[in-house]
Amino acid sequence: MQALDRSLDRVRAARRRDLLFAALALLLLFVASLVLLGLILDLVLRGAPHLDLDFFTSFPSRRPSRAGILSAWVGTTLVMVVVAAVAIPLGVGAGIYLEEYARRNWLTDIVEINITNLAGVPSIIYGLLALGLFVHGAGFGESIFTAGLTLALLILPIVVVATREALRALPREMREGAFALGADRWQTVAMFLLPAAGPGILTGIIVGLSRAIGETAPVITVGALTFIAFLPPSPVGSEFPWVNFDWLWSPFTVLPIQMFNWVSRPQPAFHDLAAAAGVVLLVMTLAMNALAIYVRYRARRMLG
Amino acid sequence: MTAEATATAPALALDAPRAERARADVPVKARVERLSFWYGAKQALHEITMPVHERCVTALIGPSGCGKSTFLRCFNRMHDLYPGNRYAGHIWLEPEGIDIISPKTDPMIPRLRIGMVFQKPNPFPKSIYENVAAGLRIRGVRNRAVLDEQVEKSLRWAALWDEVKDRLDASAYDLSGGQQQRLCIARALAPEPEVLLLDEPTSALDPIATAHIEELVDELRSRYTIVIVTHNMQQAARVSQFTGFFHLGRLVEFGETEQIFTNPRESMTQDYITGRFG
Repeated sequence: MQALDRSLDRVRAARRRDLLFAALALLLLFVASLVLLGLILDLVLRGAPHLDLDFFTSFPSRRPSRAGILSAWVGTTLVMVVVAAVAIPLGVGAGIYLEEYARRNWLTDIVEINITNLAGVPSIIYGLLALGLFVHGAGFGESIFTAGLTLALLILPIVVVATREALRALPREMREGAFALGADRWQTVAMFLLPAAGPGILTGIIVGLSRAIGETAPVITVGALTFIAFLPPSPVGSEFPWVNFDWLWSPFTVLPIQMFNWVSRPQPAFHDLAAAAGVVLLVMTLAMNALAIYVRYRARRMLG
Repeated sequence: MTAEATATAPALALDAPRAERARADVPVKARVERLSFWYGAKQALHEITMPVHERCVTALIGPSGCGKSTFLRCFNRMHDLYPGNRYAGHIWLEPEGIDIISPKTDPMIPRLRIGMVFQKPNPFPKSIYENVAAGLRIRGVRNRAVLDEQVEKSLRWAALWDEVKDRLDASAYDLSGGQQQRLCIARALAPEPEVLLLDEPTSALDPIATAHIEELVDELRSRYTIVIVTHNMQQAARVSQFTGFFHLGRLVEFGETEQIFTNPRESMTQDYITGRFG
């Protein structure tokens, strides 16, 4: 009987402790999510009235009623195209090399430490590097191309690390199975490892791109304009060869910079426009994250 | 070693211990000659010499950690995937007499001619069809008709065709453990290798699936040279014609299965087979 009482006391104490901890954790969760929810709600309430078609098709203007984000969202889109075109092949390629090809020696150790550290470098430093290297050194100017390269550099470590981790997470039996069938290294990577690691790599890419889309500091450093009332040359033309890359060398602005510009104006009407642009940016980021979740979900279902 | 024993094994009259005793009347597919192997500084195999007879099942038995799997993985140079491993000696692959473990031999050469089935079923995260076709695709086969035919043939060899013929596009992960292992056998058979290595292929399976695979091994013997590592002595006795007993990285005894199990020459083999250690 005594033994039973003692164990019942233990159970009661354990329950009390669990309850206390759960309550505390819940409270903290509420504080964190309420702050975030409040911010988003404020943004949406102030920005929503401005979100009409005109907002997306108008250039910025001195009159808040006529100002829009046409040059900003076009700029953001084009810069992201450059970022993706540079960061994905470079980052995934480097990740594959380091994980599947490179022999472990002091050189790869140094590269590995550096890549991990690069992920922690403040983004403005990348801006300064790009200002010296791309704008002046290489003569790319204050262009979409420069901004794309800069942001690609910024997210490169994220993509490399995600690629390596996705490859490392694959069971060694898969690698052995492929090699035992007579596959060479490239076949093993291309036919078996990359498809299996694909969802993980894609998640890393999208996390990286979501980071790049919201960056402001490095883009200002390389000379994005804050007020721009024209579009870059169209990438598709009516004459042969129907595509051109002149837009790469065009001056530009991006959404976060347009927001920064509007927030720094004295008139409150511009602050509401900034909120509206913020909503657009937020939706773009959330859409990318949703895509990442969907891709992972589908891949997991396929693998059973 | 008597003069009579030497007479039956003229090809292997080296200074190796009495472990090896090739049957002169059965052709040899591979000759292992004084094979040693090191994981880094740790020696895992000591001067192993034995024949692998063509179109026969050779079973490798011995207690855990005796080196039988390590030995098996030398045949397709699996150890090359990890740094710090080192081989010494020779494994001659007949009829050409290629030295499988020579640093001059590209590991792809034995791997293209020797198939392997692993301890744990390891299908690729692809469809049943693509798993079986993988070895052919690696060899550059693109013709759909050729692939279709070989996939069906391999699945029939592996006694899996009737169970999966209606769902070749389903994920290989939808199959049960025993089916997955037979799929891995079909995958290994599809490129029609000369030798099939089986590394404890039934250790993760239930008795019914095990019986399936044992039957299969017995049938495959007519076409392939098979080397099978097993923990299970009954299995070795049931499916093999030759048996090698390993202990602490050494080949203690090699001979015809019947002789090993009824009249072993070494007392250590006797002790292991009767369950006194292991």
